[in-house]
Amino acid sequence: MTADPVLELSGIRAGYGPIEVLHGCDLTVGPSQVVALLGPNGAGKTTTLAVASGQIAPTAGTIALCGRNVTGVRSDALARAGVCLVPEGRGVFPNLTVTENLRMATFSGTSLSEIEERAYTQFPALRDRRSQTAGTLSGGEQQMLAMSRALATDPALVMLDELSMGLAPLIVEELYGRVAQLAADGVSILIVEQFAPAVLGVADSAAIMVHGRIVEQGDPGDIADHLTAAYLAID
Amino acid sequence: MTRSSRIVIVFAVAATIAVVATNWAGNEITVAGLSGMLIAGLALGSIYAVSATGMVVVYSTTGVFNFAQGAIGMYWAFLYWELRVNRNWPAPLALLVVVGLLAPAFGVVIDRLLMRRLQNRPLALQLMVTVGLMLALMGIAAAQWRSDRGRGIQPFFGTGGFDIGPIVITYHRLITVLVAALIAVSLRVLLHRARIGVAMRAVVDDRSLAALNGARPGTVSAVAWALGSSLAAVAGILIAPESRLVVEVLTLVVVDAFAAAAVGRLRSLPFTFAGAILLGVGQQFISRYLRFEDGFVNMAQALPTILLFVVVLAMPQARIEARRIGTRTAHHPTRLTHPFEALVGMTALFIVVAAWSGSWSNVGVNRGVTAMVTAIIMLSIVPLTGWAGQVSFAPLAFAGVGAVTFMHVAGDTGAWWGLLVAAAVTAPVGALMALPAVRLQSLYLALASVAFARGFELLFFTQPAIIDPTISGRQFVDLDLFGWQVGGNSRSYLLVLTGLFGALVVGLVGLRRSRFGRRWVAMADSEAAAATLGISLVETKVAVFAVSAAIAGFGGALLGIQAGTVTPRDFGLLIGLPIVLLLVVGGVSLPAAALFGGVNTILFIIVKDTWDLSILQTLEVLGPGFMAIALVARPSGAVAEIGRAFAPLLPWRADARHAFAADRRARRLPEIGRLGLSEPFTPDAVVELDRRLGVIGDVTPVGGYVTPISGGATR
Amino acid sequence: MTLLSVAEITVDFGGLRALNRASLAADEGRITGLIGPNGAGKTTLFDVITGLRSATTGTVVFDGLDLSTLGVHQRARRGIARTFQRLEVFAHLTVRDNMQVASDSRRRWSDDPSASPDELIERIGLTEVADVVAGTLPTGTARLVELARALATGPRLLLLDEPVSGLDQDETGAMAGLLRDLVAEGLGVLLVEHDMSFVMDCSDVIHVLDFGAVIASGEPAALQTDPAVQTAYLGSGAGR
Repeated sequence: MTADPVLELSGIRAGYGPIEVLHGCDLTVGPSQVVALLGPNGAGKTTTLAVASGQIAPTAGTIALCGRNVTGVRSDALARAGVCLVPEGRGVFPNLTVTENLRMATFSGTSLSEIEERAYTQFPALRDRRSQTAGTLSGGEQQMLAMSRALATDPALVMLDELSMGLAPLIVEELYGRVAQLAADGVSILIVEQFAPAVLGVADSAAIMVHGRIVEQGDPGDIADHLTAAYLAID
Repeated sequence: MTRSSRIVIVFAVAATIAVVATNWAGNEITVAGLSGMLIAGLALGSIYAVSATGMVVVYSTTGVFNFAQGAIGMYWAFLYWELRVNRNWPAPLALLVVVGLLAPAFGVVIDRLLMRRLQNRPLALQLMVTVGLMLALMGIAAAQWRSDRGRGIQPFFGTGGFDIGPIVITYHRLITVLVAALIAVSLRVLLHRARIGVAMRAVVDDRSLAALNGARPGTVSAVAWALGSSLAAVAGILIAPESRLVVEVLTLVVVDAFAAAAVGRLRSLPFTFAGAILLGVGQQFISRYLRFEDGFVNMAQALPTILLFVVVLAMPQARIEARRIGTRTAHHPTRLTHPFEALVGMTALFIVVAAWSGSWSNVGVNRGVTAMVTAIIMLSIVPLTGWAGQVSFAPLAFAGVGAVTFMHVAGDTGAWWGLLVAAAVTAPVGALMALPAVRLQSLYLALASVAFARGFELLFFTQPAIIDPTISGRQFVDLDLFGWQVGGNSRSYLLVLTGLFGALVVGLVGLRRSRFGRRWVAMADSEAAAATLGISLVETKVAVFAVSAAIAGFGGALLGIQAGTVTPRDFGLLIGLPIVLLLVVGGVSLPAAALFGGVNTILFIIVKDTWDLSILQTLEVLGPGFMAIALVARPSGAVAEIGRAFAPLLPWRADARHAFAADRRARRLPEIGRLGLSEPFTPDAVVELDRRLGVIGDVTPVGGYVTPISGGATR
Repeated sequence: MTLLSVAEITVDFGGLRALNRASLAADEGRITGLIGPNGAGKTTLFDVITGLRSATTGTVVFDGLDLSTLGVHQRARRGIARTFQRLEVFAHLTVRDNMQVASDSRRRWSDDPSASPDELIERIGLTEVADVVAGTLPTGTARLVELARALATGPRLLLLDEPVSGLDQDETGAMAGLLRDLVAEGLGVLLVEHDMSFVMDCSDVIHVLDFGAVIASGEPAALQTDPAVQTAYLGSGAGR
């Protein structure tokens, strides 16, 4: 592949205040690639996404987007540049209506009408709830609303954190269906999941993170076999 | 609503009924009278609502609580008056320039320069900087518009109005109510229809998610501050003709706004409006239908502070918060002073004062006494704010309690034990003030202290039984120290004060190293951890308030002995603020900072007397104001900075030389050139870095050594 | 002997149910592990036990006494101590003073001369940093300070929230040894940790929390192969 990777993290060290969570993390997402980042909790997966989206500045290492060094660029600037992170635990504003939530997505440069049309086409359930506040939606609907930003704003890189958390299997399946569709359109995607089976079918490549480092990266099929051991510390 | 909240509300209603019944003026209730009261109250309430709304919008979107809201409104009201009356501009043009142009521009500027750097900083720092802004604006306005010229500002359309039946409505009041309604509607439209408004609400919901959506945090806070400043201007311009164009009066509108905002729990705009209207109507009701005798004549003015206190009482208990990441002060904790060092320092101070003051003129000695008395009162803030992290703006009110206590028990004899009685009586008063607010967040405690200081100023010191206004002549004779009479502005009193100050400093230095000091610092560092170690937070906070109040009361008695007479005005909220600020500027956790603060207080006066420049006329307000604003850049305070610079020179401070050298090493780091920002951070670089830092083995450098160089990295 | 029993605890944050009728027990002289995926409610449960957060329903009984009406500090005085996942050291105090605060506090309710700050400093291995201001310490050391500080109150039950995160391998090993020594002396430990090998290695019994409910309890070896646990960690269809 000659093109620069869409996202390249190298030697990232980062954490919260005095607590360092990532101790030299390297991760690459190529163009149109779907990468699954797996690992037990506390490994630093969410922190990796926080660094890649500019929420946390690394204390060491570099972040490159499509070959451009963006280390230290703030999250709002990265968001407008086409990096879309759907954070863990419903990335919606609970006191804003569905329309207002979509309105927030217009900072990416896409018009509201366009976003609404795409969102409601993908998730017709949301159309009937347009003027309802997001906090009153069901968990699945909230996640759909959160994902609408990824689906409707034409981002260069989508990062999804624990999409399936707390959702019924059927809804998880529907959401990952959309992810697959997005991938088919050529969008690069980085997925963080604890529940591997949900994501391994969609991913081109998978990485296991333990203790703030990537310990293994490769074909999803091979990775799957090593997961149980990594999670439950079985030798 | 919890049960205790309900009890407080029932009690407040009952108390209100009792007060109304006993103070009924006996005026006949007529439709015209009642509706007149409602209209006037509605107009007044609308103004409070506009001001409070600005404060709430700023607080909820940026997390910075703006004490300067009233002062900002005051300044724009004065500027409007200048343009409209002195320069004869047409009203619409003057309004457009002030409300539509200068006020929002000012909001954007203070956001850029100050407020943005206050987000996620300790509450004490936020409050001190906005109070500093408040004093600076007061000083500028008072210097710019000297009070020796008549000021009158006409209501809009003069005193004209129209009648509906028996009810007279002036155009000004009609306009006031309409403007408030218009602002309410436009805010609603802005916050729900405009994208920036939606973004502001989104920030309230989830700040980081708003950034992930691409909303510019800088724009949001700039808009919030511009809006806050404009709303303050509207409120100031509307209220100026109703009250008077006086710096202090307009600035204190902020207390009314606090009360209204507290009703809305500092978040809800509708409840803030409701609280403001309640306040306005209540004040009109009091001034029209109730008659208060003697010491209670200020009841209408005091209503907001009473409301603020009741609201704080009725609030449900706050959860003990584990500390939020990133809200910590970054500065290094200073080494603890040893009591022996303090003793040496204070002895040296005494010798210097004793030797030098012999050559001082009467004026000089007078200033020295003022500095020392102020410094002693300032010491009361050290344990409270410096160690326990609780912000109080009421030290001067406590000093007043101490002064009047001394006056009553020993004012005519000057007995030395009167000082101890003053301290002993003030201590429980401090505890009593803290009690309702200790269960709440520290911000409410700070608000309660404002309410307390203002309430005492208006209702307590005004009581004839407390300070008898009919007495002329001295209320305090000289202090009788076992037959030795000292007092007034004498050199001997200066020496006594210097000795007392030194003793208090040594005592405080010892207290900091005792289990009480440790516990207070621990509580300020982490309430959650302190509580889970078996420390009662309520008990601890009440204790530190009592200690602080006792010191202030002691200092207040000494202030009375200096002055000979006291009036209710001597202990006002606004007079006390520079005292708090100057101590914080010195370095709030260091007793030595009180000396810095005391000396600065008189330096301002000396500078003012030496150079006859109009801007210096208000230096005693301007100076502390600007110095407090400077805390944004140097939060640990002047004495700490000076100490850090000079400590390495002291022969026994090897630790300071070590820290200094480490600091130099850290500054050399950029020479390595590749700190992982422009080029990959290779393992070789890590090794090299560790070598230069003196880090041994596989230790991760923490504590801010490896900070990103790029400015964009600071969030 | 059962020291702590938590029964049917439910906690709601707004619309989110953080704990759903969670019940578990912790014994004297044993290490009870508490594991579960992110957001399962482990720290929330610690907050409920220590009183920092109140439960919607359910009871916490410690040593036969219902704690519901007691405040945070009163529970601590009964013998419950904890550490925090996101460090809560007293940053402006030295390591020794951190411990001294706890031991001063203990003197309020107990005459029993338990381990003095200096003894604890030595036992936990903090001698070198005893006079260092705690806010400047690296994470691993700060965690040890929190542990030592909790011990200085002479607790009967110790709640540890991720004690080895941020510690290197040697330190983790030392921590395991220390915990074993402590329980041998009769202390009860409730341990939340993401480092699975550490939990599996240390704990006598483990409870697995998922979606706020306890989905499995048992000995470490049995849990590692429990299908319900594998599902909670890996999602349905794991272990095909």
